[in-house]
Amino acid sequence: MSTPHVDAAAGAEPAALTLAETVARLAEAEDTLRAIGAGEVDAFVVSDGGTGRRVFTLSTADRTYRRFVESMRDGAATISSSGLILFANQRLAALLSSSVETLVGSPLAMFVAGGVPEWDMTHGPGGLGATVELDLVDSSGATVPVLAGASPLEGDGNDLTCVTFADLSVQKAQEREIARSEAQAERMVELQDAETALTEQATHDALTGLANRGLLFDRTNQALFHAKRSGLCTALLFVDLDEFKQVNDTRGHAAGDAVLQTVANRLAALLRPMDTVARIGGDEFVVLAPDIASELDAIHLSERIITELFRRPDRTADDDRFAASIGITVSGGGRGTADILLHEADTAMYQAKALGGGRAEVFDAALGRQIRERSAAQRMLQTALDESRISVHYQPILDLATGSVAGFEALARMTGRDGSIELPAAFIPVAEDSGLVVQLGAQVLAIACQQACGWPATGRGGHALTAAVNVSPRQFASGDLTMLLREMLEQTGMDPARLQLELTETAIVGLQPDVLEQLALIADLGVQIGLDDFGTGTASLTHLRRLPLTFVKLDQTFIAEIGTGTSEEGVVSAVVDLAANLGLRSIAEGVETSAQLARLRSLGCDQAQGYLFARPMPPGDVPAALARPAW
Amino acid sequence: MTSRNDATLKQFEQAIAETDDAKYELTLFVSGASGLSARAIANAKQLCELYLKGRYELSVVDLREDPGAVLSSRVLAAPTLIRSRPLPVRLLVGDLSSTARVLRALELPIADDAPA
Repeated sequence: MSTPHVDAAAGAEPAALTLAETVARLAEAEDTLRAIGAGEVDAFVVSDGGTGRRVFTLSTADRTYRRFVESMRDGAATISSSGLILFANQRLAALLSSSVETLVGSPLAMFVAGGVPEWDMTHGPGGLGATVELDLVDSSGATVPVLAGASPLEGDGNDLTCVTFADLSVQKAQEREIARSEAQAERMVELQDAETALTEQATHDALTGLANRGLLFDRTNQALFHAKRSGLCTALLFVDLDEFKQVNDTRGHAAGDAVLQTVANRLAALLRPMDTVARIGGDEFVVLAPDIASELDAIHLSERIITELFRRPDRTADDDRFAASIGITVSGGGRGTADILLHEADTAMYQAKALGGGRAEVFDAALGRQIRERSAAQRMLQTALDESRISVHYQPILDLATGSVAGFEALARMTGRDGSIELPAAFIPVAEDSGLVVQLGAQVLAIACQQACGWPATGRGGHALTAAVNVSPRQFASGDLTMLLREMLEQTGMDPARLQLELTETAIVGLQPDVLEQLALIADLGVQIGLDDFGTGTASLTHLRRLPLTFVKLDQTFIAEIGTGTSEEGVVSAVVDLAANLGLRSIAEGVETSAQLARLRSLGCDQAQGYLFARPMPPGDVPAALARPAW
Repeated sequence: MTSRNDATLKQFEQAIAETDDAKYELTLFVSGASGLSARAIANAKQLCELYLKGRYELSVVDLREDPGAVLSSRVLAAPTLIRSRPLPVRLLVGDLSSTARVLRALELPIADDAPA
């Protein structure tokens, strides 16, 4: 993207002040787009449709907006208030048989048959506004049917609009192709609908007037039958309110019924005429969307449902906004039966709930298998814990100034009954999900304290030789971590200053007051506390200052960037500086090459660990690691 | 969050007594302890010390803990550096890695030794 030289300050006559201001604003907008394109942005502020704004953060620094926009399946452009294209992705350029360079700076109207419509952006936040079908005109003059949606990117007096364009060519062609055979099927469906009307009472839910389970099954099987010929997709969305039980319990069944009716009305208002929404029990709603083009349509629909249910139409009270979890399953070409699809959507819905609710998850066959595998893995871990088959391996942490071993990170291992040794990746996720991590963490802590007491108290440099143990957020929630630590230190006689706890950033996000309290107590014991995965932006800067931290571990994704020549490399030095500014010791993880080591040394990073020095080793190898000459 | 270097603040206060009209009020909006935030903060501090030594006030606001801050500003994205004094308000989105771009966007006086 070219950035014309604009000198807004120099030589501005008083009479031309407004013009100068306009030019400066334009330069700002151009700079903004350049920064976005160059990946210099990691959060966006998006208007939420009137009342306020939301901050939308990209989860990691290297997932830049450009990669985000370029990875979209749809065309996307940012449009100025005067209708100029300020930014376009490659996909849009391809749709228009043109280049991004040609598009940027041109009026969008040049590429839209019949002119650009008034965007209706009143429907919701962040790209969930109403969509409209348009014909784009490509560079050869041919029209391309698209579904366009617009959302605002506000800056006062400088309003930008993000517009996305989904290619409808394939769908339109399919529509024409199947129109003839469809017509006949439609007549059959109409006949069946007439019959259905006669049996209204037997097929509908009395409270909400929605379809009941029986009708949903009939319609779903009908849609699947239909899809076998059309080749189109059929989606089933299992919608479950996140806190309905609380409403019923605290405000009574009449209030609960009112909620169900409100939800039913909002769902019904969102759907196309051919869609079906059913209530199949309690707060369980199911949406059947036949004849959709792809899974993406079902995902878009789920996003609209979540937004619409969470919206407060009259902004009166919190009573009428509902968080919902949605499980989606999509059948291509009539695969499956109503029974199977409902089961799949239900499974995916539980997955959405397990991930915190207020979100949608798509079922895939692997998911069902995963769930079964997970419960087997959980039983295996429980047995290993009961039979004391957990051991600890140690990875040396080097002091970069002296090259000597400063301490070791304790890493859990699980030994199978057959003697095989499992790495943490195989059992930590299960441990975290099931809560077994509390028991696991306690065992690892006990083993590490015991074994570390057998090491020399000081390393070759004369400093205390430390053992770093990972602590899960769950261990804080369990409430007795401080007591456990006190007991361990007493039982083993370990010097608290030699023990380090490593927290993940997620442990401190939201920073519950009691976690802060526990951390203060632990720090009072003399135990060092540090943060894992530092620099990924999950924790806020103030959190870091409020915590009694002594060290941070740089996320290994940063270390991997060293020597690649990408702009991310500069991040490493900035993060080392940030740690130093916060008065924290910096430890680099995942150091694999001597080039990375040299760079970390020159940046003033304090300590490092990684395969370059040593892999995690069984406790018996620790003395040899301590005896060898400095790295 | 307001991050002020005390020494710098003293210098700033001294300077303001001498030349009140040359005061620069800058706010850097960042999002959490990310690499980009760290880089933008480091760049902002360095540029201020280099070109505005003793006559600036730089605050850092973390949108992650103070999302409300965006309501009262023109912030669209983070990191964003805003010059609120002297008027008119000027802003620049990005990690501030190009000195020339920062100087131009914020209409800062360009020193002779400014890198291109």
